[in-house]
Amino acid sequence: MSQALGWKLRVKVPLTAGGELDAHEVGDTFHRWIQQRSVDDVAIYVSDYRHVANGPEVLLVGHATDLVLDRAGGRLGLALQRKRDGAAELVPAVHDALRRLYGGAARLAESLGKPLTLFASGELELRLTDRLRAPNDPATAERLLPELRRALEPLWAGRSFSLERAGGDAEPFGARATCAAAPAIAEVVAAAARL
Amino acid sequence: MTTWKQALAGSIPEALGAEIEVFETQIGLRKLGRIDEKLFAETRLRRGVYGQRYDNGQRHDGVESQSLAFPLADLTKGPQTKWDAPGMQRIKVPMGKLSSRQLEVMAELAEEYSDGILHVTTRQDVQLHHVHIEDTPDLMRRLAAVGITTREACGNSVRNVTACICAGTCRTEAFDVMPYAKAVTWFLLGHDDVQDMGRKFKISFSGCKTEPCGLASFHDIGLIARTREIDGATRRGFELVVGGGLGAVPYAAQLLSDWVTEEELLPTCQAICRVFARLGEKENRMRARFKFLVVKLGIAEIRRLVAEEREKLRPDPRWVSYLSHLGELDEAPLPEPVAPATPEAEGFARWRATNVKPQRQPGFALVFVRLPLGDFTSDQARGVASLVRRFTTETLRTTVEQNLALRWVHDADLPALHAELVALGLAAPGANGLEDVVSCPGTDTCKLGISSSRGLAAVLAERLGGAESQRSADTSALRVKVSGCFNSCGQHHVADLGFLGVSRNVDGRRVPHFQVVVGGEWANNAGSFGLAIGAVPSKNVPAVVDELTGRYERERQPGESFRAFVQRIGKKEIRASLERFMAVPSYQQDPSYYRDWGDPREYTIGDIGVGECAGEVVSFVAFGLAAAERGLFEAQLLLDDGEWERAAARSLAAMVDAARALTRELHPNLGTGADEIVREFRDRLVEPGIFRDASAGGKHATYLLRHHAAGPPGDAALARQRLEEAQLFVDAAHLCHEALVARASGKVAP
Repeated sequence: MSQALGWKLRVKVPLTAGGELDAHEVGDTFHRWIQQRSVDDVAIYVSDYRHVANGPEVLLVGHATDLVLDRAGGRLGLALQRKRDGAAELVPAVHDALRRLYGGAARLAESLGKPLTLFASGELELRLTDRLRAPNDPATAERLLPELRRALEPLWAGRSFSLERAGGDAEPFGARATCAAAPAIAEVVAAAARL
Repeated sequence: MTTWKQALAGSIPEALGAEIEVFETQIGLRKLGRIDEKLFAETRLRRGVYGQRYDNGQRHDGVESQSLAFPLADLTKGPQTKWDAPGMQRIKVPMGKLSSRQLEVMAELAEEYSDGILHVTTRQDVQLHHVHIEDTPDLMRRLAAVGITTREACGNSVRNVTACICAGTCRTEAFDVMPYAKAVTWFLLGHDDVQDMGRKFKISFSGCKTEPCGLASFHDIGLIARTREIDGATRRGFELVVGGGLGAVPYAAQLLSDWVTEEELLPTCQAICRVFARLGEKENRMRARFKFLVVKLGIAEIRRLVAEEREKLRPDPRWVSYLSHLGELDEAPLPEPVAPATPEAEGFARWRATNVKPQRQPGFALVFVRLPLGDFTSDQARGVASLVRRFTTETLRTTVEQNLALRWVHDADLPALHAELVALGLAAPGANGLEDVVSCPGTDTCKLGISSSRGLAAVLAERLGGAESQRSADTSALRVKVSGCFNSCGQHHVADLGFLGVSRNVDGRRVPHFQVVVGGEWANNAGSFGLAIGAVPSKNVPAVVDELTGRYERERQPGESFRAFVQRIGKKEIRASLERFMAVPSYQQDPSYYRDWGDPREYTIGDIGVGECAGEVVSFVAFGLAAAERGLFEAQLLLDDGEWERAAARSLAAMVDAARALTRELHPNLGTGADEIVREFRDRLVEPGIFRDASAGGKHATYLLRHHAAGPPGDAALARQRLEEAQLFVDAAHLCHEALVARASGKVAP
């Protein structure tokens, strides 16, 4: 009955060290995007959770995906949460999420008049928010980290990157990718658009 | 791929699992168009699956109303409710009692099916928002696996039973009400006598009369613990009040009985529910709550009716069986503190002063974890669960002030617990005081919201936080509560400073306002309601709070409560002091007045939808007939799979479901055994000629009588024939129901 066939996952691009975004401005921007009917999903809400510590701050809630200004883990970034109707295979599901995430980041920077370099080019957090399909255990890591690596390879122009399991045992299965020699964020955004 | 149903097989109590199966089937039937949308709406509401704002597929974007192009555009899950629109899942937490594992599961559900936020309500529930209906069966299974049901969390049913969070640890209680509240919860859950109500029904328990914790005064049934000396022994019982409620016009509950013995607690509640189900308003949703029936008939007549109904009840061993297990819910502390040498972190002293309440038991404390607007993240929930394990013996509660409470914390552990809460971002002081503003969901997610209660509450909390050094303890202890509309879910009527969302038209534009209500009483079980002073623009509410708290700070007399202060200076004087905040500048002068807090859109009330608080009036019979239809559907599937013996059994069960639904209309005490149902059906409906129609006469009734008397069919062909006859029987049951309704209303039967 539930959407178990499609992957539910979350990808987050953090801001560069010291970077900040005003959640109020981001919320206004999300509202404006809805007015402009320019969201690539059925956009429904803008939820404001600025009062919560180290969590989602503002969400553009859609039917299948949410775009989130997110401070989980204490680090601000932009996250894309795929809730339903995702691809059944992990690599295309991750590619779809990355396309939406980096596209959203570029658009947000432009809307706010901020430089795209606000977003870190060589860092990415991933969470598979489906404990049935991806329990947070070593077996999942062994099974899925190679797939995640394969999904991320085109993002950084073939440059080497580390991919490590991340997050506590009780959290959804997660991974952190770091590319020390990542190309400029504009190139990453362009690469994501081609995925 | 493994499903949650398979993964959790063996972990889910059978009854809960079966209910979820039924609901999942109903979802499937609705998608096939085989369940009416109103019936399905009430069905899902009774599973806690609630609508959310914009689920009619329309959303005003500040300029114009946009249609939301949901994929299944034509499918609905209720009147004017799009199938694909995200909804809210309410999770009942009886008496607010949660285990650490239950909290962890909710955290998982929030991040997998919702937006990573758990929300505690003013009735000790937990809510998840933006949930898709097709995810709800698995969500329910995962809850059921840790002993939680969402059954009757919404809809016209007995809602979450609330209770004093201090029960068992309180200095003023007569006794611990928890086992009694638990007994009432499980006794009434799914009980036949609470399936036919015209509106929701709320029950609360309080350990004493003077403290606020139980809020008995505004419940349909409020129970206040008391003891009596009888024949030299101390006996337990309850003072029982009925007919309280907030809403647009608040009603204080009236005394039904000053002494209900513990043995009579359950049957008395059952009898009250029966009176409400039988006589409560079913047509006019605005006057369907029990409080209106109590006012209409008078408390003396209600008392007589309840006594009369009590006499008619079929004895039930559950009425008293729980009394031999009263101690099961007793909590014990950890034998020793776990981190007594922890130094006090910054802010500890104020946090201890505001968030820690000493227990009756020396050396132990109840610790409030302040949740801003009732919200916390999945990560924080896991953190709290860990602290519950480390510092207590599973003694967590959700509170009616949208916070969490950990009980039985060693005093010596308070510094360590505080330090851990700091790390989680959950150590804000001021719990249950001025800066801990309570709010309903309002226009954020509620279909009925008029003004942004959460937006206002967030602004107030931010402004009031950190300013405690500039005010007295009396002022800091005031309570502020905000409701986004007249339904009063924020409980503003019983706050010192209450705000109720309204809309005003200024020069042809809508302006969000809040009605100011002052001097409500939180103590004495929310003993009295505040005074409405007038409406101020939403943008001026923070200034109004400053004005009122400032006057109280400066002008109060020693020991004078805010309520007493308000009564002393008078409504007229208060209004005069607020007049200057009531004016609205023109749009050209200040357009910010024409937008709500936290929402850049130009304000409109065009997004208000049809609320689901009232549920859909669906009778017990309709539910029974729907169950029969579902049974026939399942029987057909079994037959198609070649399981003809099971198919025959299922089709007979479906007929019994239909017969019971009809017969119970004439015989409320009807039991659940098939033999009794068939016998009573024959005596009360078949033999008097009620179950018959013009073309077939009473022929279809004989199918049930014959199938029940016969053994299993000998082959698949006979099973198929029985299924076809069962279909005819259920069709005839629908006709009989229409005839009964027509007869009851004095109209000619169709």
